[in-house]
Amino acid sequence: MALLDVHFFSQVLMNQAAVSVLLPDEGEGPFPVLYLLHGISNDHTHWVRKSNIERYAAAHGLAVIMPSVGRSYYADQKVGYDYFTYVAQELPQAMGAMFPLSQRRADTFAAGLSMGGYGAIKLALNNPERYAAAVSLSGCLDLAGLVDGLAAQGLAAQPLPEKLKRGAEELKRAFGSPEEFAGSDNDLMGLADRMDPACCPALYLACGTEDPLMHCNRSFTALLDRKGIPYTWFEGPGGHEWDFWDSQIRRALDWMEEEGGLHGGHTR
Amino acid sequence: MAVIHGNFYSKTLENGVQIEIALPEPIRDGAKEPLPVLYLLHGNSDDATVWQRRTSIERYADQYGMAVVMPGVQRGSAYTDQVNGEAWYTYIAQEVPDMARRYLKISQRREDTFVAGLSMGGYGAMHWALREPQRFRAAITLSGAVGSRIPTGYSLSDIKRTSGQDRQKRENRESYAIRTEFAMTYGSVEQYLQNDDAHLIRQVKAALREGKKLPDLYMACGTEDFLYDANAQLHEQLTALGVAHTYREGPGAHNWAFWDHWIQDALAWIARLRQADAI
Repeated sequence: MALLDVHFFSQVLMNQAAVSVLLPDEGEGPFPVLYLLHGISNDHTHWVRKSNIERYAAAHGLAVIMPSVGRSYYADQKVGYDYFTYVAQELPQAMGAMFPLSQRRADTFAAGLSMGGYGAIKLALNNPERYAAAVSLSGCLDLAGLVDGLAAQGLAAQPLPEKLKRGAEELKRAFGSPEEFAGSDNDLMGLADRMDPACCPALYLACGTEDPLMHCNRSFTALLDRKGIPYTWFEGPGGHEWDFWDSQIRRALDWMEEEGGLHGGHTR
Repeated sequence: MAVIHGNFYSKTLENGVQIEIALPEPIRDGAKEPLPVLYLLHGNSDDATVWQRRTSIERYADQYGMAVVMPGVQRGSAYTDQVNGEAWYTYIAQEVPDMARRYLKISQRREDTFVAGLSMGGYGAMHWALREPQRFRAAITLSGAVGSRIPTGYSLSDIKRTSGQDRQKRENRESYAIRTEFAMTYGSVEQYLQNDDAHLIRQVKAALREGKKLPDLYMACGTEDFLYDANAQLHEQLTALGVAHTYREGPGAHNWAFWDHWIQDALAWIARLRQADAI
């Protein structure tokens, strides 16, 4: 595949934005496209550096767009910048203007790990008409516990340990108070609760059994079960780590072809 | 503009290649039409990144809504399919435009397609445009290595005698490299002299004989440049043949201060051509 390190001016972020792009060497565009989102503390380069995404995507004739959003939770931040608008609106427009990418729902996918898994599902649930399928690997899908917990700790403990303090502060910057978060476009539990199962993009959710985020995957899948929203679930040995994400993104791309409607069709 | 550092695979070279690309900002301009494109070639010993590093090409091209595609080639290759080496011309002239068409939204129309370069890249730009005059609206050479490519002061016997000798290599790496590269690119002096395609003025004459429509040509060279005489000579030869061309000379040597200034003049010249075309 061709690997492109793209820098362009984002009107939404009002700043230069960096994006890694993979484009297929075989076939002619417009190509099916996967928006592949990084986790907290990572950036647009991590999927290429830490996984074999280029090799896996080549086998599916899939273009891959990897943006960078800092520690923003892919949110239009209460205090900060509109990262969700950037990823959901401006990024597809800008990439579509530069590269031969399909604009069809059947050809459009979102995936991510950890914070990016949350981001991918958020894209799909907020814009079900735009994505054929979404993939969350070790995603922090039910964030309410985290938001409530950190808010409570923020009130209770003074001073907080440095790491928790940062976490609490950036959750608050992203989402505001727990009350503002609950039921908002950032709250996947609320979004899933309101989702018409017939309109929901295909979902692939995976989490390692040793991953500390397993509990917020369990509460999310329990809600999907109650609502009758179909999804594919994988759990297996693994923690919050790249070995798990590398094998799972490969599996998720195969799933996209088998059940998510991906018709890249190239093998090499 | 958007700037793209691209890593591609070249089937011609059977190797990974780097291409730098500057694109007009698609959001602001709402660009839906395929973009006009300038292929911009570097000089000897440089690479795909150098135009961006030593000039503000991104900023200059932005004014004109033009995509700039900057590939890289091996030093000494003269953008030529080497007799004993790699097919650099095929890579530049066939594969790079094909990549630009395939991966980006680049216009394929002659009136939207331009090529420019400095020094060895100035030669490469002219050489490409004269081999494929139907592809280019215009070609630009800045301080082009447009004269004889035989290493100065060396004959065939010199090249035979010195290439491959380790002592010579250690003592004068540059002169060793230039001779070796000449042999890789053209074979021998005799082969070079017999190779009509390697000589710009013979390319021009052949195109005129065949009745081909030439791209508009733009030449600039500094009066202190060691390539000044070769450029002035080509200017005279073109004039004698009745080939219309734009010729600029001014104070300056073989350096980036000159190229940074004159690439801006060349882009403005392209813009005037395009304005005239649009009327």
